[in-house]
Amino acid sequence: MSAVLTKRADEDRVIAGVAGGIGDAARIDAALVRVAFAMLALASGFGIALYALLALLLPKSSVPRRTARTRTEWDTLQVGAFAAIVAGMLLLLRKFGLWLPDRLMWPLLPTLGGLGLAWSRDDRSTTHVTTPEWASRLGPGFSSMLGNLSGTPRRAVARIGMGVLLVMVGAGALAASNGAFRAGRQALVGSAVLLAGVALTLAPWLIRLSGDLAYERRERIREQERAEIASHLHDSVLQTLTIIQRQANDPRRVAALARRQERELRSWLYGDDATGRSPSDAVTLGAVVHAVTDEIEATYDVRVEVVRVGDAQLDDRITALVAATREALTNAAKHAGVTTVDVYVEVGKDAVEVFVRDRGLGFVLTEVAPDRRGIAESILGRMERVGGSARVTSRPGFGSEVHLRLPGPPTTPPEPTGVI
Amino acid sequence: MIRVFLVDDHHLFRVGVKSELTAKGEGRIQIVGEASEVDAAIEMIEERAPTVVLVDVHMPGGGGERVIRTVLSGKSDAKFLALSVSDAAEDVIAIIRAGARGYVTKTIDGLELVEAIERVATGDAVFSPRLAGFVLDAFSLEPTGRGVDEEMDGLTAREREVMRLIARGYAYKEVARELVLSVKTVETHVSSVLRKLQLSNRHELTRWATDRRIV
Repeated sequence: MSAVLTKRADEDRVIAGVAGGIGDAARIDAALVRVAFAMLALASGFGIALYALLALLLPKSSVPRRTARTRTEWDTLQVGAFAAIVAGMLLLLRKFGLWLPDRLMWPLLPTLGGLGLAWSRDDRSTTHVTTPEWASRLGPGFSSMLGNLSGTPRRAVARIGMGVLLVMVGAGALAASNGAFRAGRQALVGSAVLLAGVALTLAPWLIRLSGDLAYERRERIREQERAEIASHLHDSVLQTLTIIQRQANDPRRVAALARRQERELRSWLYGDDATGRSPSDAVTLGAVVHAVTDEIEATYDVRVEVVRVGDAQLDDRITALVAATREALTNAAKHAGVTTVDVYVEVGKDAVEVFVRDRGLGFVLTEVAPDRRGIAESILGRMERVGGSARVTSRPGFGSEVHLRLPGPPTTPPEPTGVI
Repeated sequence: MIRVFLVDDHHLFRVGVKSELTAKGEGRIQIVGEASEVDAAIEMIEERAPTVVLVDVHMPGGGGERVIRTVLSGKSDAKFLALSVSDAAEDVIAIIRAGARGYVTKTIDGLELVEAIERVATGDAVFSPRLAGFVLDAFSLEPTGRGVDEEMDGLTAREREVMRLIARGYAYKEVARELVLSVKTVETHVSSVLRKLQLSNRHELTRWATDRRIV
């Protein structure tokens, strides 16, 4: 045992670790040692001088306290002996005149002692004791609170109780000796002093309790968010990565999968489709256009960049417009030989317009073989049937652009509201 | 030679951009430095005085927005081109209003990036189709309320036409040809739109951008 070899504590320290070190060596709670120093400090600063001296003399401990020794029970004998030493020193100091007036000194000593008792941190008083099942069903916060209340060991309760009692005695004595109880008006002052004493005694315990609760709540919220993100990533990104691994020898397919996943993740992170509006509402022009472009990207090896201004409610005419857009996109993806196609959708006051643009090979319209009915039937025909028009601009060196126009004011979708 | 500085917190991305710019911008572009954090970037940009700074929108410690605001409030006359993976309207509008002269997505290919850098270096603006779309959408609302500045809060018919063509995926040269204008005139229109985007106080602009941040 290294009880004689007192060292300054490295971890259990408030100032220089002197009290922690002495407490460790004497096997008593460091809080008591600190109180003793505080008491001695009252004696004209003797405690402060003693502390400074010890801080200089005692070597610093190199062994982490927790591994060096774990303090178990309060050793009554040790505490008693320590108290006797301190009391002896105090009496000695009183004899030498290093002393405040008696009527101040005597009440202050039990007050400090009580605070020391209540504040001495017994780690077991905050450990979570198993709580009944019904309590944990009410939520972790509640069960931990209950654990803090009911799980506090009886010894700790007794300790705090003793502390409170000592503080009250001290505060009362202080008030009485200073004549506070003499006048009725001053009785109020007396009880205020008492209450302040009690509040002071219990403060660390209450602070610890509320800190535990806040921490518990923060953790729970964080846990929920983590679970949500994890489940989303599992359903999307992880699945795609698995598929990609299985098709690693098909670069086209891998690129398409990666692109589709990128788009999906992006829409999850930033809102529906990068350009805005409500994500859940699949009955708008914007949502349907994005469904179509996703499909084209997945089918062909192209990237479709969509820019959209405004949005419209889906109706028969808009549906036809989307079908024509899809045909134009398919054409560009299949024949233009490009990696990117631009789509611009504009919902204006007097028309809905779609432009599908590629910088590909381009072609001369009259040279398109009659069996390629795509442009004639699917695009022009569809648009004309709903009263719209389609124009194709294409020339070598420029690429192609399909311009679809649907005149007339569109039905604007309702502004997204909080109600679903 | 245009002196270019790179600011991005992703090491791999900086490596990629550097090799791309070295290959495609040979003899036109010189990379004078790079930084991965906001504070280091601010310090080094002031020290090395690049012509163009490529800056990432999202970075810890205030992002590209803080880099731009801090550097521009000092003596430096560096021009900023924002690069981002985010197409969120709020981010794009914020970085432009901080003082960036252009915005391109990180999927841009090397040659286009070199051209964009050259354009920004000469004081012009670089608009991607998406940014043009944002402008059209944001300025499509009739300005309301007090303090409406006719000149600042609306687009001219010509500017609107230019923006529409850019949104359709047209390059400046193609826009010029389509509207029978010179490329210089197109550049002037785009710069004027950029100025409106940066200086307009119409509250719709900010509200519009925030509305589009859907969680």
